[in-house]
Amino acid sequence: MSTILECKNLSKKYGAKKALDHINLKLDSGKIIGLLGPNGSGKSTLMKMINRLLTISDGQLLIDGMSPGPKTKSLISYLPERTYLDRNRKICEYLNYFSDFYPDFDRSRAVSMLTKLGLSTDSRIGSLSKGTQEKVQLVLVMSRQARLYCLDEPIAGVDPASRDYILSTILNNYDEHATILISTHLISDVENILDEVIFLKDGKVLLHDSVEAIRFVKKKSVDELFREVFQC
Amino acid sequence: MLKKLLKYDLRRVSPILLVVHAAILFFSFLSFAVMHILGIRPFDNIVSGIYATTVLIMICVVTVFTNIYLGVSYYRSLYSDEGYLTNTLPVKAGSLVFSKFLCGALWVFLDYLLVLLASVILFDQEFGEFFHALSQKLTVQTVLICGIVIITEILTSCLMVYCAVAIGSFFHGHRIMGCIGGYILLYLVNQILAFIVILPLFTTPFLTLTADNGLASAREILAWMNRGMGIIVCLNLVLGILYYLICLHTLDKKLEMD
Repeated sequence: MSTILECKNLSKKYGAKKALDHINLKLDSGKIIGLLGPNGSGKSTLMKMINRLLTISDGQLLIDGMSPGPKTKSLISYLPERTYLDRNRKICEYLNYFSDFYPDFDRSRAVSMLTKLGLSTDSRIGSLSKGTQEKVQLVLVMSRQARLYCLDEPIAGVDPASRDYILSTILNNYDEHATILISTHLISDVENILDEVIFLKDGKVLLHDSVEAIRFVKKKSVDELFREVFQC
Repeated sequence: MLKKLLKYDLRRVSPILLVVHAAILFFSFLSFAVMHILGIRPFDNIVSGIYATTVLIMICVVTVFTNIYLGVSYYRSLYSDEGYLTNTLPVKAGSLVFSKFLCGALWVFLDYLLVLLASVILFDQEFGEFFHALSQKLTVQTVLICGIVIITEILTSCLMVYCAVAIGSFFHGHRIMGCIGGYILLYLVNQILAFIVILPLFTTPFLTLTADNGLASAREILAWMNRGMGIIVCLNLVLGILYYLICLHTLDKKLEMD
């Protein structure tokens, strides 16, 4: 089992404020890992730094032993918390776009998932509801054969039925050799699919453990432990 | 990857710019047709004058619009929500910037060309007389240097817009104001530097001759102009490279997506 992501004393500062404070992490391949924490804990910041959308203030970040760059971007499939699709474009244009830039993009899988959603590839993004746009974005991301999937709040802001669809899409398209890093604050919805959890608070890692250990050793569900750790 | 980036960048900006420039050409052709049918020239009377002025204003607006639109497209592609897709592509930051530079330079060049064409259509006789007079006075060398000046101006103007957007990206929450402020700053710096580098030319013997009421020959005037334009070309190249490096550095080393 190889290490797909390693953070060594990783910090991110905005002036005097520390968004991430000396994070030390090692994530193995082949796991589904939940990055859990309240709002403002640094989850999205870490996700963005992995994808080189933010600069590193201090420390080191390695993806498959490499610093973030074009090569690591080819290994990572990223779903940000916001929609990056242009409203004026059609779904088929994005299928072409992903096919052009990502050799690991499985177009037939994407089309199959879109068909199951009842979507035509000729549909314009702007004509879709917000929830459907998010699903289209998820389909594009999960149709890649990446080594690391970074999903930032994939189920926030969608209805419970859509959450089930999103989680089943993640599981059904999951390569057992790949790693999925899901950031969320909706613990109860994702707990059952997670192998490991990382608790993040005020930019620091409070806990990094397997779900199994939490349940059998601490005799608690992840949701219960989360509420205990992060109680106001 | 550069070809693919360029393909998508051109697809992104070309539809609107094609429509806008086609409209300008259409109005110029329409003016030409109407005025020839009526047997009048632009500015022969109030109505033709107002019409010609309107078309001229539209031509100027199209040029300004082209530069603004290219800047907005650069911003949206790299620094807005779409930047979460563009900046996570498995390509170098240099490829992203260079692709947008090529796309922008192409459209600024086409803009200059189409705007000139629209103007020539509208003022066909006047331009004919102007170019005839010029061809008798200018040397091949001067024409070539003029061409190089125009090309470097095109390249630099496009990069200046992108550089302003890159500077604006540092002002979180006020990026648009930052872009506008950045452009004004770069424009002022450009003008001040151009004045400084051109100033030594005003101490040449040509000006001493005119001050002494002497007659400078056409060759001396052209040589003086060539020197001036050569200096402008060098300045444009230096500034263009500087703007490009700022764009690249900002995207590669200082990217901070909200």
